[in-house]
Amino acid sequence: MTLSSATRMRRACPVVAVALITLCLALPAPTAAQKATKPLRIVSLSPAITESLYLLGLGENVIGVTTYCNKPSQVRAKEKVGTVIQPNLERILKLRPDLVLTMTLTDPRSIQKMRELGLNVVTFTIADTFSDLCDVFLQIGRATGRSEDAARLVNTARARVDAIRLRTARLPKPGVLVQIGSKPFFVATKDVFMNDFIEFAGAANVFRDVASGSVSREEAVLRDPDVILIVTMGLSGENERLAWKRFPTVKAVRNERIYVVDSDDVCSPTPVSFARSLSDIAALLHPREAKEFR
Amino acid sequence: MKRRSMGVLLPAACLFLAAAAVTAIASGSAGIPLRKVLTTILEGQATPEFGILMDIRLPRIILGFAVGGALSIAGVILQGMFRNPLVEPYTLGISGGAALGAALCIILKLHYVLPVTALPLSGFLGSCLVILPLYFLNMRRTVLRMQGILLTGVMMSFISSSLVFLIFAISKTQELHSIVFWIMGSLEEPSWTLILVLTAIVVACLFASFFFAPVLNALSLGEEEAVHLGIDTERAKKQLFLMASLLTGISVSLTGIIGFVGLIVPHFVRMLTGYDHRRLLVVSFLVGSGFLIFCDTIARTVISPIELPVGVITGILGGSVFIYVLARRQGLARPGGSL
Amino acid sequence: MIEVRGLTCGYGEKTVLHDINLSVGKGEFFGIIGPNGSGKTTMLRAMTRLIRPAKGTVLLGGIDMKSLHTADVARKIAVVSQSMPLIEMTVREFVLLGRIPYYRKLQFFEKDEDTAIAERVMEMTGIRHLAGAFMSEMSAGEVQLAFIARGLAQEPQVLLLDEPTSHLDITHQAAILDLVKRLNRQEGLTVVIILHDLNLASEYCDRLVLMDGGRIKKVGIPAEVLDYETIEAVYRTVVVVRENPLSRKPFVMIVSEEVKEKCAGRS
Repeated sequence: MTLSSATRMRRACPVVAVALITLCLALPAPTAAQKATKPLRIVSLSPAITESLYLLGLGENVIGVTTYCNKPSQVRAKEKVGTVIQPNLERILKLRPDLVLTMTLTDPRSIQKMRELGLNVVTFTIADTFSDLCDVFLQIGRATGRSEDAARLVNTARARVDAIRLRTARLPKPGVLVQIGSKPFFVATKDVFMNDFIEFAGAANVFRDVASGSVSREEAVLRDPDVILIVTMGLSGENERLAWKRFPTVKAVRNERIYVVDSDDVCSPTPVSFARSLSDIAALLHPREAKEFR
Repeated sequence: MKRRSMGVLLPAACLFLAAAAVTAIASGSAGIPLRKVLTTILEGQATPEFGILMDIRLPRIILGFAVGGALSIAGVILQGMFRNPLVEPYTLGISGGAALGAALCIILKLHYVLPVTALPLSGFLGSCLVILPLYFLNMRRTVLRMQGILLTGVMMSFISSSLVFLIFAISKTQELHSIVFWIMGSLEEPSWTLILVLTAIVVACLFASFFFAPVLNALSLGEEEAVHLGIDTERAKKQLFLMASLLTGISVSLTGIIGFVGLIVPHFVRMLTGYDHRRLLVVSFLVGSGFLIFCDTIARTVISPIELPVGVITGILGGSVFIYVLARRQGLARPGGSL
Repeated sequence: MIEVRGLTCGYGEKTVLHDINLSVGKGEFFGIIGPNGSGKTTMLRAMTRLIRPAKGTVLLGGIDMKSLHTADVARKIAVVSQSMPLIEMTVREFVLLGRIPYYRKLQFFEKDEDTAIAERVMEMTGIRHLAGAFMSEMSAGEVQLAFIARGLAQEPQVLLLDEPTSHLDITHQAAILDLVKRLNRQEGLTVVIILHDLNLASEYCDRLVLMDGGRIKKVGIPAEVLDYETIEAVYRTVVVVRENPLSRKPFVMIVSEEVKEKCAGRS
């Protein structure tokens, strides 16, 4: 029996080969053809996604953004289709997008409703670490057919970040407290990517070990950070900085190393903006070596 | 405000509901003019406008009809049973329980596991978590104590909202946002099945409530008087309480907390129909549905593209109109003047 | 008509009535008198089954009330109280509520029969001209008449009244009691009435029961019950009892402190 199956295979090979070759020539290359005939119409439901799309050179393809999207400045002229959490389905439907990109922050009911209405919705998870951030960026690249550009940008960003990490590894690590809320007092723990900023910039998060960021100021004073970063998420940064003066025992207060960081720069970043902000933060944390990071 | 006869009120209420529905289907950020609506429904099957009308606006109108009616009827029943004008479906803490259920569902990420049913189911179970203890804690030897229910309900409301705040404190930002928006109430619901099931239950309860109308009339004189008039008050109280709780629980679990409808509509309608529940129930249902649909339309369009939570509009609009009507009414009550 | 056997009942842990034995005949005008807290209202509540007796039975027309449905009871006994409805309603609507015990299971509108009966009882009680007015606009006397009308709308065999005249002036007191007496004599309605005015009770009632501390002190016709020793023992105040010259019923006179001192001084 083995003989006849072997003969059968030998006879089948050329037929299969011809069939395959014909198939390859006959089928059109889908993405290439589509890219040439119709530009992709994309609705973005997150400022981070909007920024990423512009980085990938898809600025023209973006037809709808949220009211929170403000970077880069060209975005202000684009049509607004609601907020991050509550997209306005009528507007989106009317724009007839090919692709709707959302973060998991968006109301899952709205996402499901959009899928039921026949829209192509892709949802990305919010990143907690730099490497997750890169993954999401690559996914966005894949979803929009710009995988190569995405890979290129991510590699550049990774290289820059690695370089900074290498440099800061040899420097002494200051203890850092990152404040992201004032009423109530709220700090960044190890579960948010702010932590990556701190660690890559060669510092230690004094609240690395807590499960939730709602800690008391007493605890903060007890942990005596060398540097305090105040992220202005709707806070008045200056007021907060002055509020710390009540605790002169804290090293950061004594040495006047309290810095206000603009939340737009550090919240919902792309790998590219991450790298940029990282160098700024590294410069803040290591003032003597600041020139190397800028 | 003079009392009007049913011959005037019933058609007027139906007209109000119809007007609200028509306004709702013709309004939205996509801007489809009224003339085009009819043609789109009949002919434009494939256009995005058709999708907008039938899959975005229509489900909201139907849900608004069901929930507005449910909350109004629940309000009428509870105000009649407790003989207290400040009682509304949420006073008893049912909404607090539902909010707690939804909050737990969101932080345990159950709605990623069962996308369609997890959130409404958790909300409903949460409301049951309040209704059942409320019922059994206030049964003393088969007598249901109304005052006890009211007080216990208010307390449970406080407890559940505190627990929800506890969940806020330990949850991540995105979860926080989701919980807050669920609580603020919205007529957005992707599942047609759930909407239609809710509507069926609500309409069934409306018909059932008709048969309780004479009972409610008697109860409005007080429990003792109702017994004198031959009403089996214990059985009636239990059935009415469970019906009102069911209506509130399923509404809240699907739409979140939409306040004031169950409080304002019964009061307002009572000024027109009088206390007789045979008229009050039907007219409240129609007016409540129309009111909610109308408020939802405003919430969707007033600062487009941002959608306000519908509870904001019901509160502001409903409260203001009510205060105006009440003030006018008291202003007219001069000695010798007629109301 | 109503028979109470060995009734002991109360509220929760507290027992108010102890071993009451009483019977009210058909067509009787029966009065319940006694000081405050002696259990008069409790007795009335036990007769309408608002309170479940701990011991003993209440028979209505020979049938144990436990076996009767609340609607059955409401078709036989009507209670006239004073509690003003909190909700705005017209007199006609209020009186029509008395027809609820006769509603069939699926009926929720009044039949013509119901409206006719309502009109008739309003005529009987003389408030027909107020039918469209709101209850809140009426005087105390008119409200009481409306309550009686509602009770009559139940087409009862027994009318129970809980102090229907305590808050009224003598004009209305007489009017209402005369009305009830007329209904008793002409329509054959059995009446059980709680009165705190001993003289009104004496004047209008066929028989009286005097309650004291949850027990029956005395039962009988007014002349038997209202003698000065019994009254002084129960009410703990000095009285003088004489015969009313027109009706020949006993008339109780309170002796004030001044008078007591004057009499003591003279003797």
